[in-house]
Amino acid sequence: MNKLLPTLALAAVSLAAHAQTDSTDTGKLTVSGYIDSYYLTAFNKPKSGNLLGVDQLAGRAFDRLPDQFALGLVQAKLAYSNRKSDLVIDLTFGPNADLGNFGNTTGALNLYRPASPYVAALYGTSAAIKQAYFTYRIVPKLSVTVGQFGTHIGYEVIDAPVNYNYSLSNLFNNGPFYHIGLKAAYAFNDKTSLMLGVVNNWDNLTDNNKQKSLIGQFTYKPLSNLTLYANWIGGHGDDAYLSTLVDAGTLPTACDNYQRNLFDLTTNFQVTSRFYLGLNAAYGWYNFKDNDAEQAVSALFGSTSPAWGGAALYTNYAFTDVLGLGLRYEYFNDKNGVRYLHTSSNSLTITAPITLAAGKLQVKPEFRLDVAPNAYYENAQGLGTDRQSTLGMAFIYKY
Amino acid sequence: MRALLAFLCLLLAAPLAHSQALPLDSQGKVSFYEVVPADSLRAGTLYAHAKRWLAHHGYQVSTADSAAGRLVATQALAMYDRGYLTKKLHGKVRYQLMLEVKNGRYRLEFNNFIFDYYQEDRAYRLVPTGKTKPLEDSLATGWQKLWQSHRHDTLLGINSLQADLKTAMLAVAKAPVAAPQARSATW
Repeated sequence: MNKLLPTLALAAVSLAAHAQTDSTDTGKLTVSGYIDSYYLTAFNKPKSGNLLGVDQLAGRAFDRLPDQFALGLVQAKLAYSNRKSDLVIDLTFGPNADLGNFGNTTGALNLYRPASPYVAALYGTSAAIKQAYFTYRIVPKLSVTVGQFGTHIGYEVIDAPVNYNYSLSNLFNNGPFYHIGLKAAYAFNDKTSLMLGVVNNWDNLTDNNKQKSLIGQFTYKPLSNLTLYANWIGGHGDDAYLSTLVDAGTLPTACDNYQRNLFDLTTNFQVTSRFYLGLNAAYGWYNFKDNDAEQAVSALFGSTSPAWGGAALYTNYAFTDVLGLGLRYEYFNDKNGVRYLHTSSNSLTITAPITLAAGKLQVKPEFRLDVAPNAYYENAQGLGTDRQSTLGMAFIYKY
Repeated sequence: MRALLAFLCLLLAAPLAHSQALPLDSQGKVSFYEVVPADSLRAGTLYAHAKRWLAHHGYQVSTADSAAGRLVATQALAMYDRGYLTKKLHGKVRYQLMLEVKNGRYRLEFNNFIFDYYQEDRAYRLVPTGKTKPLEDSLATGWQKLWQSHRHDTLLGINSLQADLKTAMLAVAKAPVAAPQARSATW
């Protein structure tokens, strides 16, 4: 042990020294990551002490704890890149890592997870893997990626430094977070590219059946400051939760015969050097193919072809490199209860990020208002109320 | 006492050398300009040398007028945030290089320096954000030290490229390699 520590320290120093002296764009190792924490208060003062709503569903996904200092996530990301390949090992720890990797865990976050085909303890280390994949460029225009990677669907990501707003949108919270599988990307030219792949459904470390989901992304960059992404994921019988209900006998077998599709449009538009506009819109639905399933599906979802979707508009203005102001408006509908929100919601989020220490430190004061058509949120008496507003501050440090 | 004065001078000179100013033109824009004599070299030769050097260094050529002896091209220098463990791409300084050749001389000018901010996109690729900052802008609130380092790295980078270009422009064309002669029985 006495010799091991100095040896490891020496190895780490030499690795860092080697990386520092590398001045080329190829064959380089990058170590990066961040930590984040937040403090917020909710004006509806929920009796339960969290922001999930009166029925404890998904009123807020990640930043769910009011009136206390709360840790978000700790990330350690290693990336190695050379001319032919990229390797990403993205490890995360902490409350938001558990939430983000819920498909790699067992317990309250993942009640429908099938029994681990490995030993149960293996999920312990798997929960730390946010991403682990490599990309190999067969030719400069064609690459293949294999492993666990962040989803191509949507606008926001788990990584707090990448998002403008700290609090995550309902579109993000109710979409897939990651996939495990294989995808290939082809760049037709500098402006257009296409990605196609096959994955273990949504947020699945281990697949519950033999059905896979197909994924696709068409990227179009008509201007240097405008990018459009048209995304899709679809599959037959690829909802692990539904399959679990069928397996448990809660739903008839006919309910396992369906097609699920999700289409998503994401745009980034840096209008001027200071002014930015972004848009995210998504629509997903189930198409049950067996008439015998109609009654059970109707009883469960209130529709024979349950759907969900929404749209979010993002805009921000940079007064200086230090201070900006951004606004996000979002409408999201999950009235059929096929995702996690189980209602519709209008949300407004105003964030004024303060960026210090050459971009390493971000302090984000933020106000968010969510309004639902029903008494979805929770008040101080533990009863339902139609709105929830929070004011808080997030602290993000990246390296 | 002399030793002390020399030491103080050295202390003062060191930061000055580090903050060596970027050259500005009459409009106050950053510009590296030079007319270089190239005795005995014809304009056509200089043009060919320049074109080869641009291609070798990955420049995107927007104007290539051999009759007028004029080349205009663009390229960018990567700028890094040195970070705590490893460095990370922070942005790129793009610029334009204009070359004009005549018999026995040529002139070069590096100008239009713009810093493009980069950040990770949702697929964790470092991409330009669309935000820009002219290199003439000496202030960068919140990241002044890093900006100074970018300006300094640009100065060093362009000086190095300029020296390399000047060497390449005067390079004597290599004699064509003679084809290997077939072996014969009688030698």
